[in-house]
Amino acid sequence: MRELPIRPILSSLRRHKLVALLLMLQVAATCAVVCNVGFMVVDRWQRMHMPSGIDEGSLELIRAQDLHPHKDALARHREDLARLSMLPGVQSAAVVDSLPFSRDTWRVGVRATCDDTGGDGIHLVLYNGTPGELATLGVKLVAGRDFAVNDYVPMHAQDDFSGLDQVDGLIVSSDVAAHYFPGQSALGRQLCIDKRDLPIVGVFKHIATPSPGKAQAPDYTAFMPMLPDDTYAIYVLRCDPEACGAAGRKASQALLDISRDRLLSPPQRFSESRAQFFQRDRTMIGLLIASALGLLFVTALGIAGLANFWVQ
Amino acid sequence: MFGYYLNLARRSLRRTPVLTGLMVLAIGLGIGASMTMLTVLHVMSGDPLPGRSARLFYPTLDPRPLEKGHRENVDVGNGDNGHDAAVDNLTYVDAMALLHAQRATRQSAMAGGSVLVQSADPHDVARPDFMPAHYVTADFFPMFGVPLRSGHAWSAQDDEHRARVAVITPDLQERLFGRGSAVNQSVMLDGQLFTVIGVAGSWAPQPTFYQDVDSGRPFGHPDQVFIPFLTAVDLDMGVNGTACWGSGNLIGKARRTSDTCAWAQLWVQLDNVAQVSAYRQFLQGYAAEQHRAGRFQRPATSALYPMMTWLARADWVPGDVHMQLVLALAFLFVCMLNIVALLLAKFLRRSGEISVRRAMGARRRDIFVQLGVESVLIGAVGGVLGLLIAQAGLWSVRQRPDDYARLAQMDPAMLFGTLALAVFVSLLAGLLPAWRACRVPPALQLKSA
Repeated sequence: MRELPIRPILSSLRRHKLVALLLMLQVAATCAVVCNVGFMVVDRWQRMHMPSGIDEGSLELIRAQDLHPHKDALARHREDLARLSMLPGVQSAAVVDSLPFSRDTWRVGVRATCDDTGGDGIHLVLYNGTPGELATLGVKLVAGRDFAVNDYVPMHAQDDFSGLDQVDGLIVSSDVAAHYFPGQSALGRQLCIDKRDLPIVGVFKHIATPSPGKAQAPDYTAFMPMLPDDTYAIYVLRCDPEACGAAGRKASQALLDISRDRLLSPPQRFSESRAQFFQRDRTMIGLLIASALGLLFVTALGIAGLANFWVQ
Repeated sequence: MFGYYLNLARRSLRRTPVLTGLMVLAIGLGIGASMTMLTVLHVMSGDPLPGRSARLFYPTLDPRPLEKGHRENVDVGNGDNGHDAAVDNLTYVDAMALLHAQRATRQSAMAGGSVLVQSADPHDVARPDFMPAHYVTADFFPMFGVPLRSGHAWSAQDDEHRARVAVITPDLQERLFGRGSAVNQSVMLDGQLFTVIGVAGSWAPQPTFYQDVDSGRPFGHPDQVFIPFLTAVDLDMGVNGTACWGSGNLIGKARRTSDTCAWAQLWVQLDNVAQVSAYRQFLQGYAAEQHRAGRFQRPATSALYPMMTWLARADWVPGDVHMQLVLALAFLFVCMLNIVALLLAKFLRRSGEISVRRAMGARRRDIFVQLGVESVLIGAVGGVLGLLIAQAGLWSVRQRPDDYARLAQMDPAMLFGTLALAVFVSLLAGLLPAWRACRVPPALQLKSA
């Protein structure tokens, strides 16, 4: 291989100090911006792909908003669920108040104990639903048990969510367990929520909050055995993978057959709901990559133009 | 002289079409990208009510209890923006007291919510739907200059009588009544019968400055229905954000009218400096009085924000938009460096020509101006290209699903600003190369040529 003629290059550069300096500056600025953009893209990418903690495949969602407060929302939900679980292609169904990436957040303050030694606490994000919610979502317990059917109490959404004063027991994420009981079993231990000590009956690994920020933030979430009775609820269907679309449409029709006094969102796969939540991050990634490419393009043009000009 | 330089510049640029094209492209890309983002920022932080905003003010009080970490129950939240909804909004009791004191030229208490809108005709096929609504008192319409296309707004008496009346937007009129007149027709709102008394003209300030700063949606989603504030309180219609403190478990209307739940906003119109300072005094006096009476536990605090100050404090522009702007400006900076290097090479290559002109009597200043004109010409052409790129960029912003995307339009000021920025940037980029070129010693160049 022939050696590159370094010496004439260097002497030429010395003759055009200012131009060389400017080019260096430009390349340096471009590198700085492109590197930062690279980090930002990786950051957003990680956020977009954060694990939800639930089994996302073949999960169909229908959001329902009652037009008028219903006198017996619980009975209605029971009737709805009985009808939905009989539909072909539906393995199980549940009514929940919120899901990862659904943006409806209910947070409560938690302390270690309710007396004065409890200290400052953390905020716990609550998920509530009908019996079988964990199984339908595919959330696996790492310790303890799921709620029993008679653990469930109404949420009393129209009465300032006073169900929180009657509930007895909760299932927490492993991050909550590790925060309060590091290195020990959290089962049977108690946490103070809204001035009452509640026992931990189970621990699950992880579930993302309804509107998570950073991907790496600790996950302080819990399930509570409160039956949703607000005018807004989400129907969740675990369906046979090949039958999901049809099952969603049939479920929508079945819900309207039971009552037309509600607005239903079109049935949606969980993956679509996730994509919607991260829409901004996706556009941002596109924009970041486009601007990085644009910068490289301009810099390359500049160098090429200059070289071309000198050679002439 | 200028015309002569322009002619020289045109000839010079035509001699090196590739290099000129590159410089124009670089300016175009840099200007296009940065103007796209500047325009988005401009429309998002602009004055939503030009001509009236200077006379509009937003009062706040601090009714919070002494102990820290009061129980807060905010229905819808924008997340942690460092604001306290208990201070940013007024309780029903305080809003009514300030409203009835009538110390400003005009004042209106208000709150936003979402109401179920249904046709009063049971045979109507239009699906009922939840729509953004505002509950306001009578002064809202004259104070904010809401135009009415037909009918009229309600009076202060209607407010006190809790009249079941509504003012709707043209969009809703068309949805409910088609091409027919809406005035004196009925509409069901949250299951109650209301009479439409007016149809507003096109009025949708962006951001929707008058709504709850902590839980409202500032861009897109214009209000479709306006109904009297006290009527909404009477019917306990849903409100966007409610922050309560204290130990009471309040529900229904008791929660709405409690003095420990903040959820209402008050806007006042003050026409001159004397009025503003008088209102400040009145407000502080009210806070002190409530503190003495034991209702406000913390030391009496009040504030009166001019509208634009209040909006700046609300900080409604998303972080992403700020980041995009920084990115676009970095892009412009690199493009500018690029042009500086290219111009430098180009001007220095013409040392021979410049020396001839110097030898024939041109002063350094003349050379400098001549090269400056050449840079400006590049900038002007680049600016036109940048304008096209910015229009394409704004079009792509408008295709995005974000709330503010629809607003991304260039107004004449931004249009002119784009060209000015392009010329300024290229002039700035041409300074150093022109200065270097006009310092070339003519004798040396002529000898070597």
